[in-house]
Amino acid sequence: MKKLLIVLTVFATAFAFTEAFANQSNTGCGLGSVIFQGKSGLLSQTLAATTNQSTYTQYFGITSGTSNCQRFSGIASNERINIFVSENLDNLAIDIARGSGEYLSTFAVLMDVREGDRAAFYSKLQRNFSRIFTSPNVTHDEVIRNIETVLHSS
Amino acid sequence: MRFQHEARRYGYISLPVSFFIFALLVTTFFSSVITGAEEGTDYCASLIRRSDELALHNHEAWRALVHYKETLFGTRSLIDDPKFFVSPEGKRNPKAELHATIKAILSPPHPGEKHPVCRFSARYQWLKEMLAFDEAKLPVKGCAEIEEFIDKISPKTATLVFPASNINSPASMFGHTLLSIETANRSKLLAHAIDYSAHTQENWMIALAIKGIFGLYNGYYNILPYYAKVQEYNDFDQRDIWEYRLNFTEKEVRKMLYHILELENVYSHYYFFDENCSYNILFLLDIARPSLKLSDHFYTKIPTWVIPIDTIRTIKEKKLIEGTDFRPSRVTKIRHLSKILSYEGKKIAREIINKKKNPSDLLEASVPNSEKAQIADLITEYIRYQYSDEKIAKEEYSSQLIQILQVRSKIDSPNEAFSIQVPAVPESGHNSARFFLGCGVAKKTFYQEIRLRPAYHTILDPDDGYIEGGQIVFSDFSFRYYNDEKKILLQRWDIIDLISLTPNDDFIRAVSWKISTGFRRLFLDTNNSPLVAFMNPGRGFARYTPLGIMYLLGEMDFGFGKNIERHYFVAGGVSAGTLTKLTQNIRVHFYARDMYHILQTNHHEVSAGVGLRITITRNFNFMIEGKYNLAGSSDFEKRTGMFDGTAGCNAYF
Repeated sequence: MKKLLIVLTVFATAFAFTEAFANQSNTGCGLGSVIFQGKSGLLSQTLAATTNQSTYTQYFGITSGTSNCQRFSGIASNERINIFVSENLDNLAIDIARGSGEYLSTFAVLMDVREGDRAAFYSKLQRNFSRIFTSPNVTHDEVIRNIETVLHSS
Repeated sequence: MRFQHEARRYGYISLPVSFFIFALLVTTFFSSVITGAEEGTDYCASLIRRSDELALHNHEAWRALVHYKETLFGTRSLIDDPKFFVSPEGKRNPKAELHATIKAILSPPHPGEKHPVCRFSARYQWLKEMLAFDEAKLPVKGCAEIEEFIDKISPKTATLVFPASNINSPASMFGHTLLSIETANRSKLLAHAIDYSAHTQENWMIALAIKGIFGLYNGYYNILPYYAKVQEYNDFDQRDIWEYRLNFTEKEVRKMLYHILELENVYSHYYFFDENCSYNILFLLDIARPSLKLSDHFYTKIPTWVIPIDTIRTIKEKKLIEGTDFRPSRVTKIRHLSKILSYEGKKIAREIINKKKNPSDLLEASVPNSEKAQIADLITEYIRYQYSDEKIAKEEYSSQLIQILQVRSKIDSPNEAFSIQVPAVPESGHNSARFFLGCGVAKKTFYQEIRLRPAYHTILDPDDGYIEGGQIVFSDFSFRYYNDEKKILLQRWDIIDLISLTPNDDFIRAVSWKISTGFRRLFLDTNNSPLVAFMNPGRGFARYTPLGIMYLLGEMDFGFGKNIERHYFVAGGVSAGTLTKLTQNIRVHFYARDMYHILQTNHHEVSAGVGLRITITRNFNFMIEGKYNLAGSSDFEKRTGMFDGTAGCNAYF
């Protein structure tokens, strides 16, 4: 009984901690892929590794993003749009479905949509949500291509 | 000189004329180079003289640029990476570093090497201003590469970002600060987030903690898009984000950026308590406006540790803050939505989440359109919460998300669901350190009590700006002077005392837990309360009720002490309580606890008590604590009880 309780105590302590320090790592492309990995362990937010230690120049130049997904190189070949959409796909999908939001307005900025045209832009994307996000496995370059198609159709 | 001489000699032996001419050209070339170099040396010497006359090495801007501080061992730069210094003595000698920097700026360029003008562009910009460089005399006139680069980024404004702590994760304990630099396009998400953190692959948390405390990790400044940071804190860590817009001018922000570029891949030892993320961000603010001397303020203050929220308070005092924005975490959004939804609305949301209904059924539901939108938004946030909590797999997540969003896109209602009422700003909370002075009665004798703790917050402290039900205490000392015994006793020393009561509601399911360790008095009987070292973890759940947060925890308690039977003890039991906010200024905590000690024969340790706090001002309040301890065997007759009551005042500083 006594031994059991000691074991339980140790176990409870360990358990209390594991819950608090649960890991998070998802990779890949499309919906549900997150751009940072290796977020684990105590003090991770303040102490442990941030994402890959890329050089500043590389970062500012945005020649390569933080995710390793394939880039869409068609008409909307703007690198910044590509990276933004791939790294914020879920949030952008939500904003498009809601017809407003910060991710959608940032997307409009990157697409050079004039202030006066934004309301129409947002509602057009919202109405065509199912044509843009065609399946759960949709990737960001398909999304960009679909958005282009939607915008060009009237 | 030697070359010159030899060339003349070749000429003298009069080989072909062409060779003579060639030699002559070489001669002229080298002599001109040498005169040029001599001129450069003169100019360099005059600049160095000028810098000495102006005592630039003691200038606040120079001290900020090289991160110099007055330490116990004299002047030192807090940067540890040798490549940050031009002079080998640079870390300790501001003057030598200044002279070496001037010389380096005036040195001729070497192909394939980054010229110091580019490598140390912030220093160059500052020296250019202070010494009024004659650009004609510089071998390298500014760094086009850097200028182009910064022009392309076009930094405009800076914001200090504070992801508040998520009480359920001790890792986020004190919060964190980072800086975001907004650019010409004014989209906040596309801003550049700069933070300082240690780089490590360590996974073993004890090693992490120890190395972090003793400076065994190297810390670097990192840059990421701000949206990546928003995802990290808001979406995955469930931490609300506060953004403090700073009133720096465009020119000041540009200075910051020059310096950030100097710090690329430059390390300094990371110390969790003082030279941490929040402290190192202060350097960037000092660079922008050296008269702030924020890094000096936090280096010399006592205690020396740097708590992120304290840096925000200081920045506020220095009138740097122009405005505040709030970015709620996913959990905050879910709690908000489930609060505003009707009973019917919540029912529909639950049915869809539990797959009793299809998402598309929402369109036919008998609630107004605006509520349909809120229901869809709640389900969306909930699905994402489950995914980030690793409760569902990626495939399930993405298919559920697409389904609900398809429905949401058909509901034509504006996205007003997130007009979340902004809570009290974190800096409006009480200060981090606390001093308590009070008196009380125990064992039928009177005592005086003082308590002192450097950080941070208990569940009974005023919780404006903090998280309700969360407690983080570091090193809380409590001493008592008993009038009868005429001696001072250590009543307790809570080295670490964490409590996280995360109330469950219809959607959020979270574990509540506690863990504390330190020294305390173990109540055995009225005349015997020996000091023991203890470790006390607990785990359970909490709920919002009309009475406030109610909780129930299973607890373990073990430790050792000189004056107890067998010198150690192990106990298990339960505790329960309610934490009620009677008015804005009065909070009361009722609790009861029963612990069964297995090594001491049938020993029970039962206690019940109440704590009451009445706020007078932000940093001053009254506190009353009453507790009844009962100890002894299961046989009630043999138990001894003791009442212990304290009343006093808390002052936060």
